[in-house]
Amino acid sequence: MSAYSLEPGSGSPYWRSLQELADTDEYRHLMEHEFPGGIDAPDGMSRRRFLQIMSASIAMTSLTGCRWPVEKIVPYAANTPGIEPGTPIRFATTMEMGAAALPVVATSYDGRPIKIDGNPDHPLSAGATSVFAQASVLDLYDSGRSQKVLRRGGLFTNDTDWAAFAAWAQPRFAAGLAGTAILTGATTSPAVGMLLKQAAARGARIFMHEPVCRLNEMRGLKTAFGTAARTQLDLSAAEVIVDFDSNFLQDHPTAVRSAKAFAAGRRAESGRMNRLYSFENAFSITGGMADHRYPTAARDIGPAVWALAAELVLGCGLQLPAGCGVGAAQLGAWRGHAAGGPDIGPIARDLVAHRGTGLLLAGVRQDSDVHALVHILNAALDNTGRTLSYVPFDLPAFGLIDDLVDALNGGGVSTLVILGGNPVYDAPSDLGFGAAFSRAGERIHLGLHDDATGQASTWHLPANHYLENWDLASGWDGSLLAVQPLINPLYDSRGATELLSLLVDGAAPRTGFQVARDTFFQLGGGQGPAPAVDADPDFEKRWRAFLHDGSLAGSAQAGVALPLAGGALAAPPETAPLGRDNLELTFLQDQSVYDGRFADNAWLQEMPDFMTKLTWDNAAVVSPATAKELGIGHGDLVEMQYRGRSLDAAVYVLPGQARHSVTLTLGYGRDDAGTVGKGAGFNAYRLRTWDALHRGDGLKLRKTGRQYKLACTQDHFAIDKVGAAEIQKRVPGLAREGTFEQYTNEPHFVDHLGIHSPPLISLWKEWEYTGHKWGMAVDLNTCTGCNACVIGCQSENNIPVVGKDQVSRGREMAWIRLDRYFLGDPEDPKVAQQPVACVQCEMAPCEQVCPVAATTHTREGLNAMVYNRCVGTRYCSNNCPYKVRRFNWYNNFEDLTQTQRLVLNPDVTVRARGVMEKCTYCVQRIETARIKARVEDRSIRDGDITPACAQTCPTDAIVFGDLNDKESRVSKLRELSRSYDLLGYLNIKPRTFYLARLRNPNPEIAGHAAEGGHGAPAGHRAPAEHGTPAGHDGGHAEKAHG
Amino acid sequence: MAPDNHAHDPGQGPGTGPEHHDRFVFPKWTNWLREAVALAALGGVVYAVVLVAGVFAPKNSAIGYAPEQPVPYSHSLHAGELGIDCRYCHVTVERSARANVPPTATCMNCHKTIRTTSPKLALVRQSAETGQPIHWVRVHDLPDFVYFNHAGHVQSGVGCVSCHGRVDRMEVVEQVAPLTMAWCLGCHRNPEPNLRPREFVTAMEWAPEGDAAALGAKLRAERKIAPSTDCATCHR
Repeated sequence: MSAYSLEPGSGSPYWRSLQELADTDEYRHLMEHEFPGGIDAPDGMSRRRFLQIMSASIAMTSLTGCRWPVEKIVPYAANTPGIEPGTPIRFATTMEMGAAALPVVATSYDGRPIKIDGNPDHPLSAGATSVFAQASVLDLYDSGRSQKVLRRGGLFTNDTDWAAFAAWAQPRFAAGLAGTAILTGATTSPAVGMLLKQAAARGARIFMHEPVCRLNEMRGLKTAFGTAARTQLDLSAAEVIVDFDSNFLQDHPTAVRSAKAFAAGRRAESGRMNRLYSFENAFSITGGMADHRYPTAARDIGPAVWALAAELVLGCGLQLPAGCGVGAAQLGAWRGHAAGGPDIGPIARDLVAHRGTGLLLAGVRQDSDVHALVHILNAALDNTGRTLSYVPFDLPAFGLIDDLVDALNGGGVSTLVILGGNPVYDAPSDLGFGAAFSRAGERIHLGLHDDATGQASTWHLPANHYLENWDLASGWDGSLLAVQPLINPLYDSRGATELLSLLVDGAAPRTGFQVARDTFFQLGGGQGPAPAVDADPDFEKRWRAFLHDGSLAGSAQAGVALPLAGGALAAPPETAPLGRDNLELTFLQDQSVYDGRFADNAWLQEMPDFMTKLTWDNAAVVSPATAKELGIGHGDLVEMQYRGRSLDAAVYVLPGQARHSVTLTLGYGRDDAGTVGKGAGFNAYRLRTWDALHRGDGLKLRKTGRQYKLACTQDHFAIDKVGAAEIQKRVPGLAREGTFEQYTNEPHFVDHLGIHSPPLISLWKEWEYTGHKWGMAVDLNTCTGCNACVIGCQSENNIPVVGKDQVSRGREMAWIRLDRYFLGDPEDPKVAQQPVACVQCEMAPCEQVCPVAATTHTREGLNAMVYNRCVGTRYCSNNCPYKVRRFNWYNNFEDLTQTQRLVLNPDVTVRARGVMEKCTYCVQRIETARIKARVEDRSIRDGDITPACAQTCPTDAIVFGDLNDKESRVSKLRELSRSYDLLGYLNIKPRTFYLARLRNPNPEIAGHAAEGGHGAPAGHRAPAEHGTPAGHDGGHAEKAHG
Repeated sequence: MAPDNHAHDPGQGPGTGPEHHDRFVFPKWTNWLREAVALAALGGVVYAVVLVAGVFAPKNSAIGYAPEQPVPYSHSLHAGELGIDCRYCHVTVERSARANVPPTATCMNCHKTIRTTSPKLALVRQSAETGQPIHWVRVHDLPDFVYFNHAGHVQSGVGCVSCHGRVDRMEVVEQVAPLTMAWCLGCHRNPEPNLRPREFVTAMEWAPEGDAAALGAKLRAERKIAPSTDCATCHR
């Protein structure tokens, strides 16, 4: 297919996928059919037969009584202060993942946690969460969790319990822990840390393994400063950010805090806007936000940093700090290096012009010396202490997994204890961990799932989910955080601290509560065990305040500027050029399953990746040019041959991927996962080697001739018509954007981007809103497309998961769809992200066509959906120009177990088969706020109501409020000249409006870009219809309304 | 089926002559159909009447539903004779969606000293001792897709009695209102007759002094009561 034959200057800058660009049959099918999946007849039954049976069953039901089953009210027996049945209560706790601890607030409804939100009182969260935190509550109720202690020996597996394990373990470990090894993840818990120290003192050897690790970063910091440190970013102070493959908006432990600060620096109304340059091989969220993005193979990014350093020092005269380990002579060879590209000069000059407000960042795929160089450059540019600072800490002297394999093979380990994690699945494949593992006589695995490692162990012990667990954690800023349970363990499970206590505390193992309390006491200067509950009022007060806040007040450490240590840096080595027979392979953490730990999380599996829009799979991502060169296409199954290993994987051709660089995300292809994740995707760990954890050369792709079905949502619910001409006309009006300069000079440029219409007159009588008038603003300038809103909405509104087959038929249920448009050259496109949910039209087309009045207008302007009236004609969806209505083709909750149902929000109806649903603006929260205001005898204030999407948004891109209140935040945003209505010319008056995205290109580069390459500003500025740059003629058009 | 070109001419009555040979005429033996159709129509009317009457019969609209409770708790004794305020037990009614049935501990506040051996209270004592809850039968049971909120109504000045009736006279609690959507909407459209000063919300005997309509209008204006009849108010 001539998929990517976009002619330069053909005037069709916007497109959504290569399929669309090529106008394939598949795309046409999706476009031309309202329900591309077709209509399913009931299995093995004709429509006539179905109606016969239905009429018979109606006749029969009318014979039975009219009263539904008797319901019981079961109050508590004892008084329960603070607990009111039916009233949700919230507790602060902490979600730990990798080395990142995120302070969260969990909502508990009648004793069961149902929703995770950010902790607004802690700066690491400031009320927002990552997508993983949103989805983590589903794992608690996962039916695939292991529920019993398992004792495996020979051919037999016996169900047993913790008491049996304790009886076995206590005599065994009573004398000491010699010959015992403990493998832990990158835990931040001081409680676990102390217990590990005690275990080491008793003779145990401690090892650490984390599939997604930051070792390069820590080693680089050691080279630069002689100590490991947690780098603190202050993006709100940064005006020029150069990101070398770090994806700091998502992959950094402080991503939530950074995203908020980054967004604060992009609010153009403040008169300034930061500028982001991004070098990366695979499209990340950060790359999507970049003003200048350079698709660069990961191995060429190190050389690009050196080229930048050379340009800064030799071109701009920057003085490197004395004794920094890099000499001017060393840099000479790198000046003008090809890896830096032609723009490295302007970038260097931009950085020098913004001394003290610049920021350079390097990611985990870069070598340690590249990290060190970046820190040196930050110091030389006076950025250190302003846009970034350091909290030094001692990296624990644990062995790594290769040391563990050596120890196992050396026969020195008789007992191996694994605290969480799944190394049999995710250890680098060349280490032979599986074989070495079996050399330990007793293998004890503590884990949420009886996964590959559990199955290879002699003891499998169920672990607590963090919502069942007592522990402590350390934030990236050093603050002490509380992990407290919201529910008793559902199964026979324990926390890591309890297992460790069994190993080190001898005959008197402590509970998780005691360990957490004792550690808190000891960190506060106490000796020995903490006072008994209520014995010491002062301590009790501190402890309770700690649990209430979720963190210890004042425990965050201030970042400092560290002195350079002067470790010598080695320049990146010379490597054979990349080509069709020498491709680069990079391993990235997955946006859905992370390192594989969320493989059984159905919400995350069905969440479309922000860029590929893939669900239920990963894929080998290649650039269009590379695919053409290799003669492979989207969905082809290829054999990946890499360093003597091979793996069959499906190909995904993604615009913007660096040439000759292939990306495969981690965490898929798990044969050991539960019913949800089993068999989804391709196991990247089978190709991963210890010496190249993040990237390596020497990959070949060989066609197998087979095809693989990828469930990809990118062409589902497409708004516009087929045809480049239509797309060209419409998309600039859908996802509007301009430049900061344009906005400054011509604030109303946005109004010229849409389709021009004569004055709009309504055919119907228009509504009047005398009370509240709810509306929502979505700022495309700060929306990163991180998907947190999508999962937050799913969690709040009981949105079902439908599975890969149904998704590929276009029947996904998520109420928020993140539209992603590419713009420009398929090899180096820009992207536009646009979250679209029901926009709550005032003159709603859906309401006009419902034959049973199941979708009606409220006096505050919501398009209310009355599920119990809906008969499923789907006319409303047919008539919806935004394609935001979702139909329940099946009874999606029918097969859930009682445990799985516990996650459902009781404030929202669970929809049955045959019912239409869509975004409600979280009407349950509106009504709750209304009643709360009534109870408190006041009116609803701005900020009382926050829909789930807005609450979780790390960049505050979504703002909800009353448009009739001129002082509300949303009204102020409505007044901005870059606000616009989606499809405003249809005169349906949507209540959700968008704020146009602004890019802030370097003027020195923008000129170059117009000729080719990063051609955004010139390319999108002028829809061909206008012929001249939009916004040249001031203020002739008004907004469609408002 | 007759071909189109023999379409009936309105000027010609039916059966004007044998010239319409190809026209379809019902054979004689089908005449019984006429009677059958008439009978079916009549039967349909009867069926509809019975069905409507059945659906709206007090029995089926749940008025009078008074299930036996596991403990023969008498509201007429406690709330009526002894005059205990509703909120002594239903503590959350002013701030929560649910009024809530009290924990056993609330019963034992008094009954650890009063009638400590009554056989009627055996289950209560057992619950207090064992911590096992009492399974009360729900009387006022709305469909699961309806979200009713007690706090919003109580704070607006709707008395308990408006929906629950004279509970203080009930030996066994029974449903007195139909709790149908039409009944809910009746009050949402015209709330004034059911409004009272907030301090009298739980008063069973309260009646407005003087002009009831004027008081209702006054209370409504004072509290800015504007009950919604939007679907989304109760269905979400």
